Amino acid sequence: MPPRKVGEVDGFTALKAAQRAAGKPVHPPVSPAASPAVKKEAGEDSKKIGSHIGKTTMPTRHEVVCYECGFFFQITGRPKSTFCPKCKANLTFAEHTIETEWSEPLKTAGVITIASAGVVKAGEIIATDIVVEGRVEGGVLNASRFLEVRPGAVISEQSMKSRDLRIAAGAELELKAAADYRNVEITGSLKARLKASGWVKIGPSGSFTGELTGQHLAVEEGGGLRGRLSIQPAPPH
Amino acid sequence: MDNNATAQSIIDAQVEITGTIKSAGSIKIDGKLKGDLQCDGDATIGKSAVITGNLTVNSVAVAGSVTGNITAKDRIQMQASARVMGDIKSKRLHVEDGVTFVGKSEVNPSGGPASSAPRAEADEPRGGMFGGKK
Repeated sequence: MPPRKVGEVDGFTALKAAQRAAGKPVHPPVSPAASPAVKKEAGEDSKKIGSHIGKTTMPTRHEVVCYECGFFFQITGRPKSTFCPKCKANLTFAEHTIETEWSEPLKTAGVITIASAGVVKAGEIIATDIVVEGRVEGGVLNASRFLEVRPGAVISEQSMKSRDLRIAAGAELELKAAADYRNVEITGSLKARLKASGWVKIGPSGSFTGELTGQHLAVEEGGGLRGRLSIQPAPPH
Repeated sequence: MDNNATAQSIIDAQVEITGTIKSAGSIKIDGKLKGDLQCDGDATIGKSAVITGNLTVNSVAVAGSVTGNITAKDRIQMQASARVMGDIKSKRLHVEDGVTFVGKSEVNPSGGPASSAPRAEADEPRGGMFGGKK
């Protein structure tokens, strides 16, 4: 048999490739009445190295909101920076931790953590996710995804803007004005008049007090719930 | 046959009762009840059950429809298909996603004193800077 040239594909190989692409078995299916010898052969094939790998791993997609124009888009991988497809702004994914007094504006498409020793005095802090362990005495925390309040955090509702809210275990937060969020996860303590367009989860150590209006509520055993509730899932389309 | 330990009264889906049910043991309701249920044991409200009345039980698992208040000494479990219109009071609560619940809730697993709800103010709900919010 003459050696096959590089880049040349014979008919059988092309047929097998087309069958693989269509998701059909390359070999004809074995009938139930197949001989034990055939079954044994199939069993041995399944033990081949790499036979358990069925799919190629695809890079994880990340949701990004441009902090300059608010445009929502997706990227794959974890780049250090990217350009907004709409406004062409250079977006950085740098992660920052504030551990001292801070009065400057700060923007990133990554995560900003205000550590327990950190104090935000002024300025707008914009990030995809913001974690608060310290004090927020002024300025605004603007998270395009979630804002997480951890134990020891001191923050007023005027300084909070986010789509999702997380109250970590041991943390306490009271919102005096009506609050409007997408998803809320409570494993700490939250007092609020809350309207959630997504879901509200109350964990085993979580407690909610106040008024809650939403479509989806899940309370795990041990979670506390005190107040007036209106949970009515939207009718299926 | 002595099976009092596991005895359970069953109200079948074809049964409709008007009046108060008192049960010392466990009870399962799949039918319709117009009236109160007082149960010293555990109650199970099936998917097809429709209850218009108050439930006073030790613990209850709700999968059907209840229009009335539920008071449980121990535990209230609302399954995804549950539809509760009324107030609930219990020591423990488990709610699955998908329930419909309109009413007041008083569930305090720690058993501490009741804390007051935040004041109602006429403030506008806050909005985010990223236009897609809410």
